[in-house]
Amino acid sequence: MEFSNTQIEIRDLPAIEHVTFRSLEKEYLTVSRISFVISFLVILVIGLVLFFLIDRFRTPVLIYSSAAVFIFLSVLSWVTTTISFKYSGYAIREKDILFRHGWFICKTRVAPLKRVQHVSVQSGPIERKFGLASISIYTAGSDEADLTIRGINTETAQQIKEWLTRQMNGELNR
Amino acid sequence: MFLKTAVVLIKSFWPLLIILVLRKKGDESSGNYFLLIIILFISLTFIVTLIEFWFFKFHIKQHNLIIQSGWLKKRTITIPVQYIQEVHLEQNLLQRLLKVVSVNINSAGSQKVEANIDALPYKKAEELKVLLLSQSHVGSGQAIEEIIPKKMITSLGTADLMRFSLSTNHLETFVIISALSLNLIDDLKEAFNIDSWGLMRSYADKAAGETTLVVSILVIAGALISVVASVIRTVIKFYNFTIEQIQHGWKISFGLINRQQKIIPSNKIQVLTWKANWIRRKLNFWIIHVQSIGYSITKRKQLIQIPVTSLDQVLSLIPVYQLTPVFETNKGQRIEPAYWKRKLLFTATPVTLILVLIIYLWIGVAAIGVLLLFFYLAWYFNKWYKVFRWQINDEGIQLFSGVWGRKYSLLTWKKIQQVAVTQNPYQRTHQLANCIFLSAGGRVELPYIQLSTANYLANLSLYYVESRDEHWM
Repeated sequence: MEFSNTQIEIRDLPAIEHVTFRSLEKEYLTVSRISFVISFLVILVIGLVLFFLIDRFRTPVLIYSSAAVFIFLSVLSWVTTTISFKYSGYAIREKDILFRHGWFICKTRVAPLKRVQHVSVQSGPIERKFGLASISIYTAGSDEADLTIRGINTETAQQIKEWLTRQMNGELNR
Repeated sequence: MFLKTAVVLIKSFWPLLIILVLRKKGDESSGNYFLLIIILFISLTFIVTLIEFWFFKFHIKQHNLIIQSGWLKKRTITIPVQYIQEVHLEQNLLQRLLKVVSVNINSAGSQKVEANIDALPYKKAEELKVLLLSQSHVGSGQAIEEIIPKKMITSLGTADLMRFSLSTNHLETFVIISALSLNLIDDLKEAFNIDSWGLMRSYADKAAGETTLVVSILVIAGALISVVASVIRTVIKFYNFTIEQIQHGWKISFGLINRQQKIIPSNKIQVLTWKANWIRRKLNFWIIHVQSIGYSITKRKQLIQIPVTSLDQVLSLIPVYQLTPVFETNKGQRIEPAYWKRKLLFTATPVTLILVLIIYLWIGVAAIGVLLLFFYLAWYFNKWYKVFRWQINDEGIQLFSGVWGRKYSLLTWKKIQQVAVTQNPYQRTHQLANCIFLSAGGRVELPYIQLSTANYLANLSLYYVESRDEHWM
């Protein structure tokens, strides 16, 4: 067996902390806000119906407290959506793909292209309206095996997918 | 080949036998039609199975294993031999009596058993296994040699089996058994129309002085039963456990009723851990967990457990996965103390406060006793932090942890599928981070290390994965 054990200089390693991340499309913020507003409207409607139908719920304490919780949660979600959008970004290096996201716990994930099993591009109805798509990168494993980047231009997503597929095939043929 | 027919015969007729036995006690007038239907049903099943047996064929042709089955609906499975990952032999009690084994064949990319050949004479099955596995490593001339045992490493004797079973988590079994028996008592009382609460109260009144005695007798009996249950469970599963070293992996066989034989190729191992609970640590008894593809807490079936009778034995097995010697735990690196302090602050404190509040409202000042829980948790987190060590080497990362018991985890760089660096707000302001390595067989996490270290580890592991042309499977 060929065995080498050369020392690796720390500063020579390609560093994930120096990568410039490309931020998500601006439209994605709108998309996530729209979907957020829709889900909160649904909750609001359900709440109103409950208050309207059930007499026992119609006490001032309950109304005020639930209204307060609702407003607090909506503001919080609005703010976190914005923060998370600002922080999110992706980067593609020669041999891996990086994605960072999160607002409370900020996470930078790296998937080496060598380990990618397959790639898929998909988009929901609202995303499609804004010309956005999300790209999923699957590696082997059970729970957290897929890495999904939302809020990319549809064309860009397709390009990335093709590029990744080419790279993967190249790896296989070698 | 007729053996399979016999197996099928017995398999399909046993419910009939049971019914016949049961019928003798019951009234026979209404049972006759029912019996007839069942006999018809069973003979039909039997005939179908027999036909299926005649149509079941397998052969190897041009490096493909071809299995044909089905009578009305024909099914042909073709597995390229080079993709075959595992070949397991398994015997249940019936098959052992008839001296046949079933062969399970797993190929890459699937998490469940792909092909099954139900009953083959033992010798034939062994031959088939050797044939399949020797062709699956393409171009290796010494192929057959590869799966012939190099050396016997260890086998579990009766004494070891006793040590193993007596040191299992009896508390778990105890809880399960008490829950079951409580349920049973309830059911019985309902069946016999007894007002259980009234009965209990009357007993309580009578035996007010003896309650402690009764309770302690019950607890002791329960404990004894759980110990016996654990022993039986362990003996059935791990009876005559042997592990042998082969060229690139291990070969294990075990089981009392269902005898299994498994080949564990080293390249299938994703994460290797071995652990001992508190008692086993004192007895120097370890269980190796082989986490292969698709292993997760919810899919325990993917986990292969290997009981080993000393740490030295474990260490002699490890080179199959990682050649670098396991690190001396006192020389490893530590994580930041912020880990246990933050954990105490954000998990133990709220839990204790809520519990104190609830119990205070319920029984009053005695709720202060819950504070003991807080101190225990404080000790627990602190101990975890104090014990935890990690070290990296050229091949991978090694971890050591535990509070009561101890656990070693090994992950080789080439097994890494993804790397992640995470930071919560506190970690962001203090330049700390968690570093997470994902493999196909589970994750390895380093909590609360310096951000620069986390980045360095991520960069280094990515460098290893991307620069070396090594396969993870």
